[in-house]
Amino acid sequence: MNKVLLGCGLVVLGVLVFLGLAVAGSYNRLVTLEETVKSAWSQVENVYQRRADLVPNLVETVKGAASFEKDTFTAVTEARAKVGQVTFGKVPDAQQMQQFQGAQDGLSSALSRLLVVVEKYPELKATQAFRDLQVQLEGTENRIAVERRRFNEAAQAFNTTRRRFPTMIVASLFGFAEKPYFQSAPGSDKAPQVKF
Amino acid sequence: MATFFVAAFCAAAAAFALEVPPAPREYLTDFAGVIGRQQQTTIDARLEGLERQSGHQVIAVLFPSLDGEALEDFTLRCAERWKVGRKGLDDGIIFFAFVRDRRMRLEVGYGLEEKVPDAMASRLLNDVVKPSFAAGDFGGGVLALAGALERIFRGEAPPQPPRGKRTSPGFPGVLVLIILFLLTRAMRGSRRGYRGGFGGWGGFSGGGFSGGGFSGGGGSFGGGGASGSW
Repeated sequence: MNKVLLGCGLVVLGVLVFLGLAVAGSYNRLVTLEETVKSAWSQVENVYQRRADLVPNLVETVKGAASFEKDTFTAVTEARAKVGQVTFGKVPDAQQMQQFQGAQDGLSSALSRLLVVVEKYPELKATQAFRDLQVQLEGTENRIAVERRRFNEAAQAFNTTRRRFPTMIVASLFGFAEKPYFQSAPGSDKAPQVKF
Repeated sequence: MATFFVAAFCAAAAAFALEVPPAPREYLTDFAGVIGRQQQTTIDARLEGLERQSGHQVIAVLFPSLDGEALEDFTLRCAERWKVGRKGLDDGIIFFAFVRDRRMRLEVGYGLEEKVPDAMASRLLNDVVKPSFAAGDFGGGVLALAGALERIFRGEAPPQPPRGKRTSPGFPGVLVLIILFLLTRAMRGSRRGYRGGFGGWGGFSGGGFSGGGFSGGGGSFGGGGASGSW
């Protein structure tokens, strides 16, 4: 009788150890993937910040030649202020992500309007200062695209693992939340056409 | 018969899509065939010297055409795959040129974004490379670029890589991958008498070269640099 009990006890113990290791493995995987998402997010915020930092210089340069376009300047400066308000520092949830993207898209459209305005001032466009700024802006937009893509990839890897069975049990046990994605705005894959 | 169709299909597919080639094995890879053999050797040596002096890897790749791909998207995919530049330092630069499209791009690694910011990259393309390229002198353009980068990199000691495993100018990091990518791998195999060029690297056997090839140093890119056209 005792031997049977001992045998059962060992089996139960074995099962528990196995489960414990499995849980630890899943947990660690989720942690690693989540850390990747976090660092991808901080990269995203970095490059968006870079773009926001270009704005004052850009506005000043254009103002010098196109001082009448006050509305455009105000729009850009306001959009930039808005963007500064939605910096989270940590990976946002779905709602925060919407706010973040909304603010950034607002700055994007204010910037395109500013660039459209500049088209009317060819002497300004030809200056080295403006050309440098334009290159910097393009470079920043490229970086933004890259970091957004990398963030989406990291978020996808995390979300996929999180939803898989049995990892999902561990995920809900320890509170690993789903990560949001960057959505591309409809029509955003087309560059704004500048026609006169 | 089936083989014929398969081959034809592959050829057609290759003609319509531009794939990311595998990591270049030379500093200058001319898939477009626009630079003469003699000049290639010169450029190769120049870039190699640049790597030796500064530690940064710079490579050049010339393609015949972009084949409808998005420029920055394609170049970044190449950069991510080839991993030019030293790991941790991310100090690689790749010069891309697409001859029929008359477009070029300088892809700058994370670590060099201070030394070669976007505005500078753009000026390098417009002021240094464009004049030569517009005149059809592709070799001259790349040489001029190498010279300009030399001047930029000079004046500071090459930074030590965090791991410090290398002794002499490390090759992993020094991915002067001026890789003029030959568009078709077949071309690369047969047309290059580049095997001759490897003899010149024999002296660097202490540097970790295996068979004269060079391998990615693990450097990463973030989309910095600038695009241009001529």
